[in-house]
Amino acid sequence: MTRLDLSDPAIIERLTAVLEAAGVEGIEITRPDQSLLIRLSGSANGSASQVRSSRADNRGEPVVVKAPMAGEFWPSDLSRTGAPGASAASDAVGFLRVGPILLPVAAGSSKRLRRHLVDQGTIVGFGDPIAEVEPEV
Amino acid sequence: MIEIIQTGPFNTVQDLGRPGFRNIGVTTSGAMDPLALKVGNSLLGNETGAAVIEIQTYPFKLRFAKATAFVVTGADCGASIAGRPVQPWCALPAEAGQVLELGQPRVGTRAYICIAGGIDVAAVMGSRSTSLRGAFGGNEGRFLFTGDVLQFGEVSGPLNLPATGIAVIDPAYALVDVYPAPEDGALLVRAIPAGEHSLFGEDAERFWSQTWKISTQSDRTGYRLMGEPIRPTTPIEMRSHGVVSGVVQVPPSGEPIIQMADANTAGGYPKIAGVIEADLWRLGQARIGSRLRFVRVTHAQAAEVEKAVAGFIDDVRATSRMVSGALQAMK
Repeated sequence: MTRLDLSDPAIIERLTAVLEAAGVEGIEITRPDQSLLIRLSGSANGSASQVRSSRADNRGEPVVVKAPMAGEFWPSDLSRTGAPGASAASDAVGFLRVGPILLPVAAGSSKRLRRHLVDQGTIVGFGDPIAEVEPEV
Repeated sequence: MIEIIQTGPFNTVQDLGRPGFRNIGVTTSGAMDPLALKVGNSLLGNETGAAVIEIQTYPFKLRFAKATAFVVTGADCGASIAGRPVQPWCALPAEAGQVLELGQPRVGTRAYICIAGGIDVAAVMGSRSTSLRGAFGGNEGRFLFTGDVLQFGEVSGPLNLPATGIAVIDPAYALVDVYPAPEDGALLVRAIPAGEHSLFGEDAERFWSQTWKISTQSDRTGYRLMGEPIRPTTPIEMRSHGVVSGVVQVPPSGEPIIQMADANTAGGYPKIAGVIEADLWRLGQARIGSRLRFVRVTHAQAAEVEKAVAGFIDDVRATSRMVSGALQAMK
């Protein structure tokens, strides 16, 4: 797949239109060679611009899992807590609740949760760090 | 295409049923938990009433012959795909060759496997539901056997699901203001007094106040309840008349019968109440041996509940699409 040129005004314009259509306030894209932050007007409370990711490596150092979109952070499926023995996805480090939808956020393969970085019920923005994971021993 | 590789009896293809033919003796059929069916289909971008597999006996196992997306709604039966646990009510992509497995339910009784595009069996009288009593509809008019192969249709606007899937919060949690919590372990089932209610005199009040137990003589046709019998003040002989799902009849034994999805089309027992349509799914998930109590409501209250549930389903459809679109845009 051809890599997008994030400095291309046409790409920026298209991404902006998609964000508006999806009702999303902003986006941050970071690559080794380029980064792009789009913040739509009226979204001054967002904090995505403050986020810097850590990169996975093979030395057992923690890796930050970031929110793939905005939502209310749930460390587990709270809607089913009362159900005896209710199951949960094994590799989810948390969920983002958007209305009736729960978006599982995965640690990635062979990773386990080290700690959550936000409290239950916190509204997170795209790219906000939500958990630290570490390679399974 | 999917292949059934393990199944018990009475697992069938169901949609929302075939209304409109009761006058010629054709039962409506359809899912016992229509909410699970509607939410599952809405999450996948299917038509709301697309055909799904209703699982009543476990374990159940199927293999996807080609890549698709699926969601297991209804009972939480510890489902797994390719050996990995599946979040309840979570739409996930499936790859060709992967096996979906359902174990014994931990919560509820009936699970629904919804697949992108819906189960593609021939529609009979406008419905893909299996009529076990009529031996038509669904997959050859019978319950599924090991080795059966089912096709699925095309979905017009498929969701781009992330590998981790998109889930729905528990409807009981989302609709906590709409569905009363059980009292003393008894499920509260709302109903409207029916035609012969007044003929039961003081026993009619006991119908509402006492706790009933769902007997082992309960299936998709109806639930027989156990409790202190109620009887009309004077014996009634009635002509057979039309019956629909949700109708609560009282046979001479005095222990009520709730007609369910495969309800008889006619009956002559006096009707004491009618369970509101929006509460039938809760009965569909109630276990044999569990207890329930009827709560008297009005038509207006029933309509309010229906409206809230319909709003939830619409919200699931719109929000899942929005979330999927946002994730795609941020890739």
